[in-house]
Amino acid sequence: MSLVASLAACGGGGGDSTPAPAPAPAPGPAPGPAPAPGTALTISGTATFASVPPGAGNTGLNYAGAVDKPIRGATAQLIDAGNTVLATTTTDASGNYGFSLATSQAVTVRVRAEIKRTGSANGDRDFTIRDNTSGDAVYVLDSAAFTPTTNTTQNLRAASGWNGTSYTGTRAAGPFAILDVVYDAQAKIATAAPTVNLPMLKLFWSINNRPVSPFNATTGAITTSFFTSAGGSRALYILGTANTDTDEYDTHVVAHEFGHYIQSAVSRDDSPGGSHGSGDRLDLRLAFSEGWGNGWSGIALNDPRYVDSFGTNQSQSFSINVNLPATSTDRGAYSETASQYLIYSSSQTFGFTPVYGALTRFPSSPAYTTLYNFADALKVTSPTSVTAITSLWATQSIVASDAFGSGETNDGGVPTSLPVYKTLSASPTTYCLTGVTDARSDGNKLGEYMYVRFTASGARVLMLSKVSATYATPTTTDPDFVLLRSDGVSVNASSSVADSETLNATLPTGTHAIAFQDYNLPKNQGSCFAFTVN
Amino acid sequence: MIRIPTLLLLSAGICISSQAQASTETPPAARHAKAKAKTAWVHVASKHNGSGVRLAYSVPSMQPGRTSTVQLQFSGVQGDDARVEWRAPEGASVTSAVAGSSTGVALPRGQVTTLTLDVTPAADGMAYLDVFTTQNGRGSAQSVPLKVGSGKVFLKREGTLQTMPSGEAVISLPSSPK
Repeated sequence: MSLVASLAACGGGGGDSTPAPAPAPAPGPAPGPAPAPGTALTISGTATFASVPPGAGNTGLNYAGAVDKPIRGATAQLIDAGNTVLATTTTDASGNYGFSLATSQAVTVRVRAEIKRTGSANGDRDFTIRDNTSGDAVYVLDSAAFTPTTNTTQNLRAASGWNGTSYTGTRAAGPFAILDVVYDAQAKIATAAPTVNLPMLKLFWSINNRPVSPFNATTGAITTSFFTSAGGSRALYILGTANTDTDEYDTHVVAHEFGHYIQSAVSRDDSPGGSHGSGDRLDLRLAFSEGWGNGWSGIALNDPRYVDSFGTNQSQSFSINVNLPATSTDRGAYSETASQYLIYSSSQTFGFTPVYGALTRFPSSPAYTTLYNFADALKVTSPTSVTAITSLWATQSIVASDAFGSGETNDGGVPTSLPVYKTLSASPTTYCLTGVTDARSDGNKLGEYMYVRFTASGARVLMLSKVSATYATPTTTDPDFVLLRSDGVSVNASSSVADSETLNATLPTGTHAIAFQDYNLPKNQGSCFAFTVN
Repeated sequence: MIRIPTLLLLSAGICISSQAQASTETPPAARHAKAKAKTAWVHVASKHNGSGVRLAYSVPSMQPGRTSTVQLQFSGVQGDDARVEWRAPEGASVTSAVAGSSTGVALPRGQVTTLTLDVTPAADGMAYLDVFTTQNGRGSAQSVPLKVGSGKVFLKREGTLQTMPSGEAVISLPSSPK
């Protein structure tokens, strides 16, 4: 083996948010001065990708405005003719890399769609962009093979594949456009938590990834762009089918999903998930989770304009300004728009560090992950801003004194939604759900879940049983609940047993909560259940 | 799943029906995923921040060159500007007798709309009927899979799949000049 050593990535200017323009890449290696006899050859260069911005208004992607941006923080490798890795380094913030080679031989420079480091004082990272339709293979950008005899500049460029009217070339830039969002996002986290270790995330993108249901990763049927932690491994699937919906250049879509990853990684997310639309009165946990995704995308990318393109030639799009408050009819802790505005505004006003700190206080909280809980935590991480936080939340018609929403007066038109948490003072007590806010029967709207707190410890039996229902079809109710213990640990109780749900639980000392629903509840209907703790 | 169809309108190939229904669809990231009773309708996952229009479809098995009926059902229409556009799979013929448009219609507020399309696929394999919905200034794209004959999925691939000496699989993408 003739390699002497790999060099640290070459220096260069360019910050995280405003990268310096990369030098024009050359199609092949450019020979430099001959090294002195016995001196290693230097192979260096810059890696870039074609970045396509959104157009003005709702005109989709602006291919004419594409610019080359550096591939930052990616693993770069020097590979010999037998595909053996001779040296590894990391591109810097300007996309620069450098290797040294003791003697001339045929080599290839490879830049992996990967940000990876272990044992670093700056925290571990393991992000890879993979093709779910090709055995989860990692994307890499390769130079042509070359045999340097002098110090050589070898620039690499990932092209978009767009020929002016359609995709005809290899869409090599796609994985690196996604990686660029990841670079910005993890760098933003590092400003608040410089040493935090982030768990592995696999990001799956393919030109075959279509918005098709049901989900089948190997055929590209991924339903939509989404984050999942199913099975204990975190993954993000991203659409890639041209002329239908492809998201590699929809940076806020990628950042939104990465926001769910972050909440999963350093916090807790109690959202029930499910479909939702603009202006919906949502379950409070869903409103926070999706508002976090949107608000975070503006924070991570330093751009409040969320754009999502789609359609023939990616020529359609819509945009959301997360720096705008909710309209007067959409204000409340149940509003995704209010959530995204408050989260983004909090970062702008109080700084990202306390926002991140507030998020990380969720895991041990006995309150569900809502805007109430977030405000309460933010007042801890930004203690000089308590009055300002209260005032900011009030602009969105959210008035509460603690993480449980005590004192809230905005019921969103659903009287049973207040108080936000009911208190079980005697077993059994009957509570009623309503589907009045759920025009699409999504099962995740305000009033379709109820939060009940109770104090108990030791081995207990928690039971919900049907008292009444306003509907006859289906013929039975299906109550489910999530127990949130006083120590922040949650336990699902979601069997399909008709008209009741039971959980045997061992409870630590303190006050716990359940969030319960009727899985069978039709829209505009209601059902009531008795909650018992024995 | 509750289904109480009430036919409201049948107009030259487009069926518009109203019905009450409960959700059967949750995106993959949803926390609760209990199975629901199977029906002829497949409910499609919705993208976050999208149009909010819910799509379900009913598609029979299809054969190349033969015309089959595909039904698309839309719900969750809360705005006055909601609209659907569809695009035929490559090489396929899609016809409807919708007055005024062969590729799209407005979706009436507060109603469940069912579209009936006649689809004649050209070749064996999996084809996709693209459906674009817009509402309240937002949009969503969804694909309806059409299983034609074998229904084989033909995947495209960028770059070259390689297996490294370590056993790792990579997709080699070529560097390109500007």
